[in-house]
Amino acid sequence: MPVIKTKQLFKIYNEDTVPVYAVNNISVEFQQREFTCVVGPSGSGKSTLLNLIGGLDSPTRGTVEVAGHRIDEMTENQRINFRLNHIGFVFQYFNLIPVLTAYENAAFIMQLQGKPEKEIRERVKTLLVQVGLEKRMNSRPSELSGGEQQRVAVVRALASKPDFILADEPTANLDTKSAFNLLDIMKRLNEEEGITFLFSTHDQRVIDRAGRVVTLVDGGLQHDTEKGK
Amino acid sequence: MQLIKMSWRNIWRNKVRSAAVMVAVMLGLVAGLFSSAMVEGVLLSRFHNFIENQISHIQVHNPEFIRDQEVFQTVGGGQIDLETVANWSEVKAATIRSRTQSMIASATYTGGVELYGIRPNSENNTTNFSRHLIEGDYLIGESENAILIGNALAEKMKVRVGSRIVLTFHDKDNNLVSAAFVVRGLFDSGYKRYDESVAFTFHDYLNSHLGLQGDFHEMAVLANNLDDLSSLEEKLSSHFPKSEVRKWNEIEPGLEIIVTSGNMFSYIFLILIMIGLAFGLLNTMLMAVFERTREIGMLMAIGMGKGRLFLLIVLETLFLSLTGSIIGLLLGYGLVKYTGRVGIDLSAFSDVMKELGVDPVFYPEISREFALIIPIIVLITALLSAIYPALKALSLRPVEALQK
Repeated sequence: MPVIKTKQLFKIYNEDTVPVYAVNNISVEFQQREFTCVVGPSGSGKSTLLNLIGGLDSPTRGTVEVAGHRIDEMTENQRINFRLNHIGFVFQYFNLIPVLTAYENAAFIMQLQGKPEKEIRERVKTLLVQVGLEKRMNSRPSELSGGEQQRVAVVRALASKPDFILADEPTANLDTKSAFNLLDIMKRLNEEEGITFLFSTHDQRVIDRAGRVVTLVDGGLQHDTEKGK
Repeated sequence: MQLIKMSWRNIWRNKVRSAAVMVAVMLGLVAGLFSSAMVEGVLLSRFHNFIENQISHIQVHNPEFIRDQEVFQTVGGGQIDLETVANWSEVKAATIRSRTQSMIASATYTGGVELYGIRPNSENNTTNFSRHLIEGDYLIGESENAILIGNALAEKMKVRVGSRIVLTFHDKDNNLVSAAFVVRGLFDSGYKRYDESVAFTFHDYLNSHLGLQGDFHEMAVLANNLDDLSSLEEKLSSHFPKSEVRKWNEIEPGLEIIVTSGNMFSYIFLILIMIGLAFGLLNTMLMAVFERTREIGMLMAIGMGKGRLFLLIVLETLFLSLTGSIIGLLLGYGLVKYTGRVGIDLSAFSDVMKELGVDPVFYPEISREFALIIPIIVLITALLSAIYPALKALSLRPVEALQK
């Protein structure tokens, strides 16, 4: 069963005047354990598609099914709660909470889930060790490099045990070394722990490591290529 | 718990702005508290002066005397009644007086005064009158033609201690009586208009001219405890069934307005300060929300519910306002307590103070009720100020907020 399934998905702006098709009739499925890139030029609809899959935006038409739930039919409050428990987010600009330490940022989402403090402590510490940040747990984002901040963001996304992680251009603001380091970590999590990743990117370094590449042009699905097939 | 930590740290993200708001809140509360306490202190000084120097807590009169002020409209009993009442446990002191409207004349001045015949000892116990003497002596001995007049009146009349003056008034049979008096002392009660309009002599001496024997026009009673006034009033009414017994607020309704207006001014000050506080907080929190649009979008994206987001903004507003408020209230209460102990000396403006009937040295104070209500009102103001910024944060759409 696919973890994500869209069917005849449209996102149209100014539909009544001059319609702009940000997402144009996309039907696509993503399976568990995939490491997939959504690529395409600027304005091709990558981020919009991820926003629709992540329940951050509502489609004009069509359906979005995530882990068996019709996210497009949910109310805003239901979507917030759904995101908390089913989807992990990694953003281009890291978007950590500046007043919290690396540990607190990662633990925050589990606290929102109401998890017991002991479970939070064990999971967050394990994840921070996995991404090589065991010595930076008590540092605030302003004290971390871009690569370290993005690794904390990955830990935060993983901490809630989501069904998959949506990452919108996660390497766009990283230098090459940090980008490769981050990609290595995410690839390892995908292969060893079966975490499903869905990226939007036009970074060739990410595309090279993806197992599947979905190409969008002008909001429409142009290619869907699985490597090795 | 994490929200509390986050909101506390959030207010320190812009240290200068938050500190400026806190200092503004603090200074506003110190100023407001102190201003209210000063007004309350001035009004209470006026109130206590009036009660303790002039009307006392309860007075007993012939009901007709209140209306007509005729000399023959007396209360009988005199000294015996005075001794009885003064010995009641609820009574701190009591005195009797005879009163008559008179013309007072010196070589250069003629004017109207109300002449009081007093019993020097009981009068002093009741009104502590002798403390106002600034020159000469208090009334000593009995049946003398000694008189005490206000210093302000003495200046008008161009007389001094030892001068002879003549007072003319009607006796109980409406005969015109003139009597010569020797100025024994000059007083300054702190209330100029009062000082210019009254004079004091011996009760027995005045009564002998009025033809009243031991009767009196007025009994003034000072209670030990303000809470006992109603029961004391009933007791006096039983003791003087044909007389009218009135409490201070019935004798001088204006005085009650003074007391209540003190509270009114305090609340007006408080409301003005709270309006300033509310707008200051609203502005600061709106700026904080606008500056953190992307962060708020991220919080909603990762699953922070609207209730928690609302609570986060409310907590930040509360921390911002309460930090300044707590310091401001402590400093304000401290300042009021200190000045309430040592007093504020406005002797430099003593003429104005005398016109107002206020001691040049007065003691700021705030009522317990007012002191308790301030923190509650600050809390409510902070909560109300948080609502609009919090709603503004909730109205953000994560997909748009994340692009800011």
